[in-house]
Formats: sequence, C-alpha cells, structure tokens
Amino acid sequence: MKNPSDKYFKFIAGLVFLLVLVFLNPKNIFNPVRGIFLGMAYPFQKTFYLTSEKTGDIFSLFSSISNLKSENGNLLRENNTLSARIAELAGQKKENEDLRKELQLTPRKDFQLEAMTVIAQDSNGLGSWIMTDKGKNSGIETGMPVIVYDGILVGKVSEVYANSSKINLLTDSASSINANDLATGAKGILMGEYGLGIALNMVAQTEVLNEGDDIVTSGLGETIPKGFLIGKVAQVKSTPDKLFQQALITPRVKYSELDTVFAVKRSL
Amino acid sequence: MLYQNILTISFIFLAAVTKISLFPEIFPGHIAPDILLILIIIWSTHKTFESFWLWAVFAGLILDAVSLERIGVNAISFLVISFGVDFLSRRFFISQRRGMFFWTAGLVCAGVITNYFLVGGIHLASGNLSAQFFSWHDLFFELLNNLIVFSLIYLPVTNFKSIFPIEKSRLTVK
Repeated sequence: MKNPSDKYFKFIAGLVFLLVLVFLNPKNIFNPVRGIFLGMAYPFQKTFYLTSEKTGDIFSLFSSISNLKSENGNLLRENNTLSARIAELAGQKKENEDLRKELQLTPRKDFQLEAMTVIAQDSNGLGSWIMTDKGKNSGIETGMPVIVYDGILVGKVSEVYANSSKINLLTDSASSINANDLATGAKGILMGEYGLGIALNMVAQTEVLNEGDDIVTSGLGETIPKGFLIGKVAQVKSTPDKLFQQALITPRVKYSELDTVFAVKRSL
Repeated sequence: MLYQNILTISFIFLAAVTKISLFPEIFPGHIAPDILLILIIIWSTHKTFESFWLWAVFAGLILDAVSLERIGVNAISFLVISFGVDFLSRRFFISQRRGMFFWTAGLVCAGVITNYFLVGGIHLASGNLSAQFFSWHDLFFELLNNLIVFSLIYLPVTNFKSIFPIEKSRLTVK
C-alpha cells in the first residue's frame, strides 16, 4: 500500500523547487532553453496563427452579416464625405510637409525597416505582447522600435531569439516612452495601463493638452526616434495630488488585430 | 509505454502552442482558453497524483517556455491544481461516476479560477508590473472559453484511452 505521506512529500518538494525557480533565478537565464523550444514551436506557431486569422475572419463575417445593410449605408455616406476630404487634403499636403520639416519629424522612408509577421500574442487578453517571426538571424535587436505601415509606433523589441522576437506593446504596463503633444508640444511619459490602454503621464500643469491632439514620440534619451505617431488624446485629467496632468490616449491601431509589423533597424 | 510518452509530450507541446498562436484570435475577448490546464484536469481525474505530478510540472514548464512566461509560474499552478483535483476526486467521485462530465466541468471551473489567482499572485509577488491581478471581465471570459473547449475535447480525450495517458479507473472502494 502506498504511504500517503509520499504524496504530500512529492507535492511540497515540487512546490519548493518551483518557487525557488520562479523567485531566485536571474532574469533571462533560461533564454537559451526557451530558444530551443521556440525554434521547435516556430513552424506550428506560424501555421496556427495564420489559420486563426482566417478562422477569426470567418467568425467575424458571420457575426457581421446582420449588420451588412446598415454598414453599407454608412459606408456610402462615408465615401461621399471622404471624397470631399480628398480635395481638402490635397491642399493640406504641402502644409503637412512644411510642418514636418518645421517639427523635425522623420518620414518613414528614412528608416531601414524589417517586415515581421505576428505568430503569437498575449493569451490573457491583456494585449501586453506579441511574438513575431523574425529574430537574431534577421538582424533584430532588443530595444528596436516596432511600427505599423504608416509610421505608427506599437511597441519595442524586448526579447530576441534565433527566428522569433517578443515585442512589448505600448499597452504593457512596463512600457515607458517619452512622448509629446504634436499640436502644443506638451511633454510627458507614455505608459501602458495593464494592457487596457495608454496614458501620457507626468505632464506639467503649465503645459496644454487638448482632446483630439495627436501624440508622437519625442525622441528624448532613448533609441526611439522622434516623430512616430502613437494615438490621439481621448481625455485629460489631473493626477490626484494635482501636481501633473494625465492624458488617456486612444491608440491609432487595434493591437489585438496586428498581423504585420516593422522593426526599425536604423536610420538611413 | 515509450510510444505513449512521446504522444503525451507531443500533445502537451501542441496544446501550449495552440494556446498562444491559435486561440487568441478565435475566442471572444481575445482570452485564450487554457487547453493544457483542461487536459491536466481531465488526466488528473483518471490518474493518481503520484503517477501524474511530474507530467503536470513538465506541462507547466513547456507552457512557460513557449508562452514567454517566467519559468515555473504555470508549473506551480498545474502542480497545485493536479494535487487539488486528485484530493477532490478521491473523496467525491466514487459514487458519482455517472455524472463524471459535470463533475469534471466543475473541477475545470475551480481549476480556471485557481489558475487565474495563482498566476496573477505569483506575478505580483515576483514584481511583474505587467500583471493585472483581477478583472471580472477576464475571469468571465476565461471560464466561458475554457468550458467551451472542455466540452469539445472531453469525449475524445476520455474515449481514446490508448492515445491519451488515461487508465481505465483507479477509483475503488476498500
């Protein structure tokens, strides 16, 4: 007959061993082992993620069929509005170029970009990170900014493996980036809100923040260049101690729906 | 035996990859069901803790490695849940064999809640600022999505005993 105390001994021994593993191991010490597993997982991840995107599209198609009629009406109205705006924007194009020069914003063509496909994402719904299919072998390095097509910043490379890399999104609460209000120049530190959103913190009370203003990277003291768009100011409020202002930012892209992103390797 | 071990390792590995690469885009709320946790719970109801605890730890470590988690976090959770399931199944399942599916569904709910708080608690205790400890929204979708996957995989897993590491029954009245 089995001794019941054997069971408790195994449970406690296992628990103690794992607690030591979690709390006492130096950061990233297991990365080489993790790299081996990720190398093995890579083909499956890529196939599974592409499949899930297709399946997700089918599900969203079913759920959207009932809304097609009203959506069609909205799109027709939007089409008319946009046609009018094209004419208006043509005039603003030159003004925009002048402003970019004046504000020293860097256009996208000035960077060497590495296109990466998303192969996995934070499974807890927090939107804290994504994993991409490019790594050390493609010249990806820790700290590189990651953008989407239009020069919109979505995060930074945080861990690099042979053929994959982990990108910490701006919504990750460990993320911290210097940014400023494009219209007023108000400076602050952009921080993630536990995967729920982004906030521009530490903005002095003397600075001006307006709802609807664009927020861009300021390029101060870090590897992220100046002028990447982040999002729009959705709400402005004071901190409880009234020392600073805080702006809640609506990101320009839905981080949960990213499929292709670009690592900014270096300025040309 | 070797053949079954290789199959079990393959299932564990694929389940871990499925969690982070296949499920987040498909399930509501972008909260991926923990298929590995469900497998551990189903397997734990059919095996003794002494014969299964190393598999639970191994599965947790694989999930930690593949999901870029701090190594050991999910392993602790799976070990505790496997122990808890063994404890409960020994005491309450003997006369309840007919309602096995519903009992196991209850254990899955308890396991998901335990896993949610354990993993969140370990993150906070280890100074991981990315961790959000509690959200009703997340917990609701965790339970819903895990129950959906559980109801889909329960019958295949329990019926294909030669493929999955399940013994006929270890529950006896002495």
